[in-house]
Amino acid sequence: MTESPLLKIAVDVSQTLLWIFTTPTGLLCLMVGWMLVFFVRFFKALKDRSLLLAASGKKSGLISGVSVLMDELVSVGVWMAANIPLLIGVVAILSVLVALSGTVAKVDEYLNLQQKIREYSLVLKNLERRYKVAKVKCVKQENGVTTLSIQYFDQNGNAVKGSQERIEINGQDIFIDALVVNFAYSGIESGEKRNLAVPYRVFSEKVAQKDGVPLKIASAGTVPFVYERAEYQILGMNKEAFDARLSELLAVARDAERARKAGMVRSVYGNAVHRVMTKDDVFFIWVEQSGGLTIKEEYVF
Amino acid sequence: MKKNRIMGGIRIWLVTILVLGAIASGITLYVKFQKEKLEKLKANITRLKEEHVPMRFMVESRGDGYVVAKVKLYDMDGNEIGVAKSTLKGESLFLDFVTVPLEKKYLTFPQAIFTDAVPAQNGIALFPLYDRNGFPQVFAAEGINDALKNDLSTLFSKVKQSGAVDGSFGSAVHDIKEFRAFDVDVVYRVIARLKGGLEIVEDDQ
Repeated sequence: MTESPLLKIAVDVSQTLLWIFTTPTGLLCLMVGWMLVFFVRFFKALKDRSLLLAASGKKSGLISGVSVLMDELVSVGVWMAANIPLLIGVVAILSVLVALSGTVAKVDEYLNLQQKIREYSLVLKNLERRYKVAKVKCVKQENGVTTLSIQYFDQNGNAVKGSQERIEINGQDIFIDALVVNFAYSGIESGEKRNLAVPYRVFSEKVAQKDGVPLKIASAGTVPFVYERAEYQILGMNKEAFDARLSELLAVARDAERARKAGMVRSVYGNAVHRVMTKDDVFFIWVEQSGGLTIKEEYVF
Repeated sequence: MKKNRIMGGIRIWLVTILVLGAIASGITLYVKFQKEKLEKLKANITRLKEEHVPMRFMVESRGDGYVVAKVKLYDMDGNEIGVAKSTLKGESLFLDFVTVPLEKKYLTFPQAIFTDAVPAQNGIALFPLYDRNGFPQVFAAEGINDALKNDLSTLFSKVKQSGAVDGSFGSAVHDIKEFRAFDVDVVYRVIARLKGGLEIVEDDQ
């Protein structure tokens, strides 16, 4: 609101008035000002009286000076008494101006804070956000071999049609390994960036990672999506969105250190979240906007 | 007539001052509430971005199919509490943690180190490195009280029995050789986030 020039002037004027009438320095300045005006008037009157006395052949002395001073004091007093309504009016107008600008300043502060609250709430919301990456279900467990059903989710949290896959692995503590890219907080806070997680391999407490099972979106021995362009539908994006995401990811992956130093990403690494599973156990893998992967239950209303 | 005009003027002035004063007072109260809210939001944002570093590590050397790694553990005040050094078969180094939900945050217990060629169960166990008579020294902090110490010890004993804590999960962070392996002689830190996520970044301290 203080952006309006008129209100800005009102606020400036009222702040000046408040400074003059409520601070010791202001009051001192006011008194000095009054004294200056009074002395100018007094010396002018004294000069006039001297000229008058000189014209009548008399000399001005201390008595005439005191007399002029008294005259001037009385004159100021009379002027003030005669203009009490005017003075009251001026004080009233000034007090309204001060109150108005004070209120305007408060409204302005309120609006600014409200805007800040909106911005910080959005930042917090963006930081607290998490995105579902995959649902892992133990469908069978026999002779130490676990059969899993894995379902992937798109950027909007919807299950990607046809992405479900079934894998078997020796062991019970199931590790779902993924490439994770955590972007700089500036991008996350503004909502421009989403941290990325691409699961590419399953292993267990008994099976070493390199002997693990590559996931459907992977081709054996490599990190998947980079080479499997034909499988772009698996991420539930259209080709343009997928290509854009892919080139973003590739740029980061190719020179993670440079991207980190440029403030584009915070970290690029592998993250295998794991949990001991028994038949019918289900868990969801999430990529957290504050950083990293987690296993959390799905919120059901 | 003149008196009425004066009284009218005074009335308008009084009402104006009162109304403006009331608005300003109301807004002042609300602004106080807004400021508190803003401070809370800022504190929550800071907490989400806060870095708890339970571990720093370094690959000391790397050969044909093996990795020599040195791992240091830290308490909540950043004091070093344990060191492990090991030569492991493999190329990618995995640092495994148990993440346990506690109220609105997550606690992270360093669990093991292994590699892409070593199954997790054959990795180097890290619990003994910070188990001080049942208390997980990684959560030691100045001013910690006995009740909290006991609670953490109880939690730690459950964590040591894999999967015994509701909502807990394991999280192994590692390098990916296809993209970029950990550089030799460079110190990295593992960052545990409030929401349970883990990150690895080059240590700039």
